[in-house]
Amino acid sequence: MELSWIRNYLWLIPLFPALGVIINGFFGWKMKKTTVGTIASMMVFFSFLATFVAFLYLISLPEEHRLFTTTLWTWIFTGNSLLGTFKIPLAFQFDPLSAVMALTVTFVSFLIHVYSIGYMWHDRSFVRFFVYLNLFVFSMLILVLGNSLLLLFVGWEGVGLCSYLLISFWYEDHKNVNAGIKAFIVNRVGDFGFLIGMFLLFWELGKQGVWTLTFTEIQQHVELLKDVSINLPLIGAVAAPTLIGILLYWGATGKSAQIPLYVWLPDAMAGPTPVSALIHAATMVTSGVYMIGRMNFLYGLSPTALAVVAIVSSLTAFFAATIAMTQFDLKKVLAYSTVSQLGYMFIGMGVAAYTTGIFHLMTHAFFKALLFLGSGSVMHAMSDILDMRLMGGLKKKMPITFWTFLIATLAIIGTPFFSGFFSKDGILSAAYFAHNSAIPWAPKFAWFMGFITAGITAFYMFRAVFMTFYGENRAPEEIKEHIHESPPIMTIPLIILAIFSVIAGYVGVPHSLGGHNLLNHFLMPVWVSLKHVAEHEESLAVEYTLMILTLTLVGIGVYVAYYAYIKHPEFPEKVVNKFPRLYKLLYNKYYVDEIYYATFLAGTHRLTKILRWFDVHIIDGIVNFAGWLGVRLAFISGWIDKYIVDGIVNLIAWIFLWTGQVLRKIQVGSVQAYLYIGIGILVLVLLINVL
Amino acid sequence: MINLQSFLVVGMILFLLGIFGILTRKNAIALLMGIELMLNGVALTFAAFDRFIKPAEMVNPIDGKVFVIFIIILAAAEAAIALAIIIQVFGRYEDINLEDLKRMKE
Repeated sequence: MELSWIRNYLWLIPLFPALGVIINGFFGWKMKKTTVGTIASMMVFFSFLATFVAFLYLISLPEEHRLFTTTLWTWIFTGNSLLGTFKIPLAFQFDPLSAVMALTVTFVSFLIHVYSIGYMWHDRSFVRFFVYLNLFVFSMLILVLGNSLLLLFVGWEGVGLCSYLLISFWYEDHKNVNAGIKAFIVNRVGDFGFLIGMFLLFWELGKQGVWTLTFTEIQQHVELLKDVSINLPLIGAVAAPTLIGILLYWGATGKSAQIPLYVWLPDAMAGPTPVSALIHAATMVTSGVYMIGRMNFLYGLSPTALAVVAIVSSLTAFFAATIAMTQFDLKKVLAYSTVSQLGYMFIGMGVAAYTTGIFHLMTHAFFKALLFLGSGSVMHAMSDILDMRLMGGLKKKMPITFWTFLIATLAIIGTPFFSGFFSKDGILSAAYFAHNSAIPWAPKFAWFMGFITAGITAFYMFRAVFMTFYGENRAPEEIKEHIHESPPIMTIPLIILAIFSVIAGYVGVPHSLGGHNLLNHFLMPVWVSLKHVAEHEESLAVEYTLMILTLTLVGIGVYVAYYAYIKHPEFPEKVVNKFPRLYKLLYNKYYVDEIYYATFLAGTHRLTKILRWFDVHIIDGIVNFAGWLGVRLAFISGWIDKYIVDGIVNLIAWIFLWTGQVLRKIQVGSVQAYLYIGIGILVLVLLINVL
Repeated sequence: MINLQSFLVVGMILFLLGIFGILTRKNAIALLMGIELMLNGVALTFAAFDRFIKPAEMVNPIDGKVFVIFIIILAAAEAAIALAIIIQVFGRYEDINLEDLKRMKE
């Protein structure tokens, strides 16, 4: 079949969800719920089909030409100035990386849309939900298909907006609104770094004579930045790629919930569960990973930036996992697990094993979406209860939910032959074998953290499974009666996702396990920075040893969970009593929220107060002083007017009056008086003449 | 012998008597009489200068006489008007005291 027409029709992919937004947004209120849900889901499905066509066309191309662009129009054009020409087209680009991302996003989105029809059926804002969800898919596709950093940023902000809108979806509850605002503000902090990084890249490349922001052109000219360094106050000279890379990663820590900006993600669980599944687990939060993959040519120039990514993210993976151990809210456990898994993906990126990061991103999208949808199904049955201490024994009542949830759990902890096993193992072995010329211990450190985290993950995931599905049901009686399996429209997506949670791993089976690592092969043309790197020696024996070590640790994790939550339910209590301080530290999430509250928020409050004081006393003071001065001046001016100007006028009048009054005495009306005067003057004149 | 000085002295006495009259008398008629005395004193002076001084350079030798005639006519006209005014004042105030004329401004 001739597929090359897709070269000019890439815009179809984001167009469909946009159409969904328009149709449902404007006419949804008078349509039936079934129609609204169908339109929204079908639009995403069409988008998936278009992506699939593009994918088929892409793999029909020879490997080195697997990139095509659809330009819609010129978006920004500066004309020819002295500095050079700057032009950004509004264009979409499709290459293996975009393909993997777009396929994952549209496919998972479609399933979640279908699931949402059932989940949101009784909600009165049913239409609004689907409009937001479509808008999110649209923004996400702009993000992954945009061919310039600027267009990526547009999508980046778009998904942030949708995330905010959907977290605060039930806006009657103040808590949800606050969570939305928190997500928005924390993301803004990250976006600040991203923007600075983007500007810096633009400026530094521009100084070398290349004004551009499109990926292909940056990739072509990025070598120009190799020896450029930037002088920072207090720190000194920093290599430009390092600084830009760290700033872009800063943006990624916001969007992809890494230390120090991960705090918004657990709170984001305030939104409807399909949102948590789609946005805060499967797609949006992975955009930071995608961005680093997209900019890999830049990170290839800076081992330091990569090391920073690896270290920070491995710490995130570890700390988030430890927090997840102590949470009782099922969605919170999954949220911290997401933060932790995102840390894994970044470890993959940070050790320059980009394929493994993207691979884990993809498998994670399936199994984490499944976990969230499963928890949504549980919530649906439990009348929106999320506390695992009130659950238990759901295994028999909700068999489909239980089995799919179990499959996803097995996938996330890395059980052999499940998808998570291949991707996580890929990351760990890549980290173990990686070299970093700037900070040599970084990859090993990342590997060690990831290794420990694997065990913790196994523990907390099985803890969740055991508390939710095994043992006696601890829910109140009236809720107990209602527990039922969810309708097929919700369980079918669960089953499909469960299938993919198992088989998605087989696209990237490493060579050491007898696979061909198709995904790595497919994505390799994108990782231009790896072209010049020689394949490093990977000892099979070491790799197998690592695998067995990890699996042992995972097994121990599962056994501890089994021991503590099935066999000896009183055991956790004992541990808690033995290490009360550690437990409290973990339970309260290392007090990070409190620390942020005490520093940034309180600082902001403080600053606000100071500024308010400044405003009230200085600014208002100046204004009031100006007013007062005006009044004073007017008073003086009035005084001058009244007494000087009017005074002169009055004086003149008065002079005339006075002279008149003086002179009128002469004219007394007595004839003889006149005669006296006349004669007197005559005598005077005579006298003067004589003298 | 009657010469120019004699006439001038008589004229001056008449003039000063007239002034004395108008300055001291409150009666309007007496005032009018003083004015007549002053006018006649001046007229006498003009006539005396005309009779005694004939300088060669004087172009018109009858200037003094003309002035005298004008003064007599003027005095006659003045007396007529002044008497008319006095009669009107008397009609209004039943008095011809000059001080009473101040009341006209009221």
